[in-house]
Amino acid sequence: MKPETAYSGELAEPEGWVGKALPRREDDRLLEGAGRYVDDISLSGQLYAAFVRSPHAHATLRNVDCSQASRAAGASLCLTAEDFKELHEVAPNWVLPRSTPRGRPILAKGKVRYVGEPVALVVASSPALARDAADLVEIDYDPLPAVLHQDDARDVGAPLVHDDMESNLAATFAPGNGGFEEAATGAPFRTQFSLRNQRLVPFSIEGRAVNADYDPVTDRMTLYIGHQIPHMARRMVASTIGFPEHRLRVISPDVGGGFGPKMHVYQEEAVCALASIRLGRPVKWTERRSENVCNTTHGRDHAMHVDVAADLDGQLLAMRVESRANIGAYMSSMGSGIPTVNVGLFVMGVYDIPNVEVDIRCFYTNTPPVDAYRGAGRPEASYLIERTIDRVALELGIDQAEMRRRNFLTENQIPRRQPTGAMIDTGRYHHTLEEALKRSDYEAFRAEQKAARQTGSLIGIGIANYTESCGIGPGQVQKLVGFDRGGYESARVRMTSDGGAVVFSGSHSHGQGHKTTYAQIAADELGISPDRIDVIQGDTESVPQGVGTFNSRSVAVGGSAVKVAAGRVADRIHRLAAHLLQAKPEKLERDGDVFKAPASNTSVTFAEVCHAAWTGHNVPPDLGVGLEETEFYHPTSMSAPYGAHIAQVEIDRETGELALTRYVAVDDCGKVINPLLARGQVHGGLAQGIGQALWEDGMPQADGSTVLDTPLPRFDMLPRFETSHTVTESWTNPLGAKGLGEAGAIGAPPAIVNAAIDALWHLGVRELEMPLTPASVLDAIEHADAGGEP
Amino acid sequence: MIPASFDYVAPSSPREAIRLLESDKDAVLLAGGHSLLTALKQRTKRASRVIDIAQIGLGEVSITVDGDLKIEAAVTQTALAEYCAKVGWTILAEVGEKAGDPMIRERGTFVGALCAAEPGGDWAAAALALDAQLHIYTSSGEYHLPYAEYLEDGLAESHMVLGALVPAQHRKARQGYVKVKHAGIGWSVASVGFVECGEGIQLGAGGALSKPARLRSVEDQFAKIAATDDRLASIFSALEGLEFHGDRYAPAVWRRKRLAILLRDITQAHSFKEPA
Amino acid sequence: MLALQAEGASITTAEGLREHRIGSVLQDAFKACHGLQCGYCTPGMLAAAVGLLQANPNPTEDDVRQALRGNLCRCTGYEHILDAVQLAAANLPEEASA
Repeated sequence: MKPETAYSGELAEPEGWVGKALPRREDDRLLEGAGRYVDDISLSGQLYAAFVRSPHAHATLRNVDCSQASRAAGASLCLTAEDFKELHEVAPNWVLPRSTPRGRPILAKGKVRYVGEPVALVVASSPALARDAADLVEIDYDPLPAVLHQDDARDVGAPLVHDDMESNLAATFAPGNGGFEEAATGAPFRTQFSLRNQRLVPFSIEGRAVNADYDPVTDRMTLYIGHQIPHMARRMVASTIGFPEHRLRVISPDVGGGFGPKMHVYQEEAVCALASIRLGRPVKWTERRSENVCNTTHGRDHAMHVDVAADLDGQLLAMRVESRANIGAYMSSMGSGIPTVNVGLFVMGVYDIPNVEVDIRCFYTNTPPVDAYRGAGRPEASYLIERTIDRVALELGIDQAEMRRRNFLTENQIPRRQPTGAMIDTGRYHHTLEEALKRSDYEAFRAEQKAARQTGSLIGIGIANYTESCGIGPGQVQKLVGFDRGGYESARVRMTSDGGAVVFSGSHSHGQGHKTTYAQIAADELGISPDRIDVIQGDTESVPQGVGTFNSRSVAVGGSAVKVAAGRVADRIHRLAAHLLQAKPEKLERDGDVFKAPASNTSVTFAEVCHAAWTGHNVPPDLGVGLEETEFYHPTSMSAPYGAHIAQVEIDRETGELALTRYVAVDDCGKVINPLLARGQVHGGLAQGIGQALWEDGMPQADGSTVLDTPLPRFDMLPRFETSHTVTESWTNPLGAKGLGEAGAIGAPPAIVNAAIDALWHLGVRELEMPLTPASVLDAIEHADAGGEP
Repeated sequence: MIPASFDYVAPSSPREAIRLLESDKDAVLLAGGHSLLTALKQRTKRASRVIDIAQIGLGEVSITVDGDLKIEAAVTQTALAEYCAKVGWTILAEVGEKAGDPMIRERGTFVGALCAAEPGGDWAAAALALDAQLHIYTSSGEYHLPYAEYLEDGLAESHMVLGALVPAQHRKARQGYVKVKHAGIGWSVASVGFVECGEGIQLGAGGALSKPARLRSVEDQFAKIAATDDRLASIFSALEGLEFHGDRYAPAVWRRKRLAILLRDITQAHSFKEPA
Repeated sequence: MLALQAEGASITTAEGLREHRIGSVLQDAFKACHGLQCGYCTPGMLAAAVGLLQANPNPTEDDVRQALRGNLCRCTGYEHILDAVQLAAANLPEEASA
């Protein structure tokens, strides 16, 4: 990638800092091995925790005997649920109205409900000794019949995951405007099909890690945790263990990838905190990969069905969506909201469909809990609608790009609240699709495909016109759906006496580069170089309140908070400079770091103004001392980024092996703050989306366990990505920015599966499921060859 | 995961290594460590004592006076591949490009890979096609054992493999290694090492079978297969009775077909005289 | 490998690359190309890239992909890392290949 290619599509090198492809300021330290992740931090008196985990998907827990483990070399403590009788479960944070929440028990009590569930904790003087001691914990299990799949969980007479419930149904959600049956009956065209969005293991390279440090002298606790939302971690850990928030400090240092799972609070952080209180020493737990794949939350896992009606020109008339979601053994932090609200609202995508009905049901099963994973519901929704569009197009013999043009919401129809409740702020779908079609040489490919079919060669092209929703808030919307969390973001901007600035942000980067982008935003407001601006995040002592980084909200909400706060500071600087020069603010001129009053030909430097503000010898009463502003920014609404992705594939008819030959992505996230970083986000999302489409599979094994080495994309498995942007600004925040971090994970699966079906449709193949393993593609081809019912 | 505690010792002779091995039933030998250390970390294997062969001075790859390729136990895969690229037995250079990744090959040993004999391993398949022999050392004496036998039957008594020997006759023969890689993991899902030998061909298969194996039934029928119209069908029947294994990504049925296609491609690249 | 097995060897980690002829060029290239996001895989990527460029100062794209195949990254999709290694190869001082 050459620097000039960073400004692709409708991006252009800007005058100011926002929009510039600056290299990151975080990098020097990380490139020199000075990254500091939780496991790197060792405290005086450090102890180490190891967990004993259930090998059974479902079993009665008869007896947990810690006596041998407690006596092991170096062991300090062995704890089970018996030691926490008075404590509640780890409660979910998003509890959908009318759902039946069952949070994770602090440690398994009476029963174990998934392979990997923590049953006992051992604390010892080294990680190896802790692990050795953990091997000595003796546990009696009586295995019980387990239910692993949602369709088994919903059967009458299925094993109950929670004995105090009458069924395994955890939550339901049915958005839409009704009228499907009436619209579909007698429609000129109607079709239905099923599709699966498979469970995935998010697999951040750094696992979860916690170091709980309770100081008995001050009665305060510091919790080091690799987390995306440190303030919520503080609140949720405090309430789980019954510790006052004002004496709990959370420090999230460098975080080695988040992708969603590091947003939640699990058993381990609560248990380590409690162990630290008992011992009066810091207790550190660093997740091993074998724990990460079976205890840290999984993603996706929907079994879906679509029934859709259209006219013969492909105009969609009505759609009915039904989905059964597997949320695992316990309701995780956002586990009731992601598969329901985040999926249900967005199943219409960018299309105009008069009647839509959605019915989503979430089931408990004896598997690891499922929660947000890059895209968090929007990939499931986009996969469904984009596959439906292609399905209708292919059945009717309409080109898939044309089908989309006929059904897109037009610019006149936007802003719009879709019948399912999705809010679309801005979008130019025709425009962005045309851009992607041009870049992917769509027409030429169709000609090439026609010729290829003569020789039996199988190539296909697939489109995904995803949209999604980012930048959560405002809070009122969250309240309606039971999501007990703020929708704002905090920013405090403070000038230092020497003319520098510090930005304290409630966002927390786990790779996104906020220290660079937020400095760019503040730099434009303050009129100084980003080099003079430091961005601090992650420590609740420095940043007392915030919401955090998820849902691609940091630029839109956190960045807007920075812009607003920095803007107010800039205004104060200007007015103070005017005061110091005894000039009217509107007459004041600024040239770089010098403020000039032309009338009196006097000047003052930027640093002198800052110094004056903080010494306070000459500040007007309406300004007062200081140059510091805090903003809790609440966006007007969520925004709807969108894009057009196009994948080209080639399939070997004999082996079923699929090659992804080309991937074009045109994304529209409104204003782009740093095109270089934006591109990195798209790439990362694409890798995960392609991983889901072609290789990854987190579905449980027959015994309920999760495979340790699920195939992940590696260096030699991905093509170069052709990425570009159109820019359709949002009115929901002063930056005009939407989110981008999850785009690739949302767009890639439907683009690729659509391409594969496009390649094979003429053979009679109608459906394919992810991952598109060679075996499954070959099965589909052979089944069609044999004249199987399409 | 973290291994359970073990002792570490680095003897300076095979005799000392065997003595250590025999004195403790839970002692194991360490060569490159890729198989052993992974198993120890996951606690699927326990060792009271790890006996590192690095100090025994078995790091040489050379050609014997008889013209055979001699590969001592501590010779790394990278060193072997580089050597063979220059002197012959080029299938081993080809495996060197397709097996693992540079970091694995830099530390992993050829002999270690043969002893571990992972189903998806590449070196074992090539060694089988090459009629490799293992140089076995025990407290009662040293001898050579065909690798195929070692793989099939194992060896009950405490022993150390000092090296491997590959016959001179295969040095310049037409040979190669074809591999279909498992997405993401790097093991093979189906692979064949082939070495032409006289009128026939020798085939070592990996990936698709439960254990790397010589495909003797396919070898015996090779000329016949090459002469039929539907090669795939005759290859399938030649593969009858072999045990295939798989996983969710690449099930056994698919691996069998993929292996058959690799074999068919090999037959197409060779021309054979019709049987007399 | 076991730490013990490195006895007698000289070890360079990411902390030492600023003084390393190839390593420092790589560090600059990673920064210029946005070859890291969370930074967790980065020391490993750098080490593997140093190994590659020491053996092969003019790698093709495929050479880079194969050489770094053993290093997993979940953030970048690998492309910017590829760009960084290629940029570093182009910027290697003449004598670095010695």
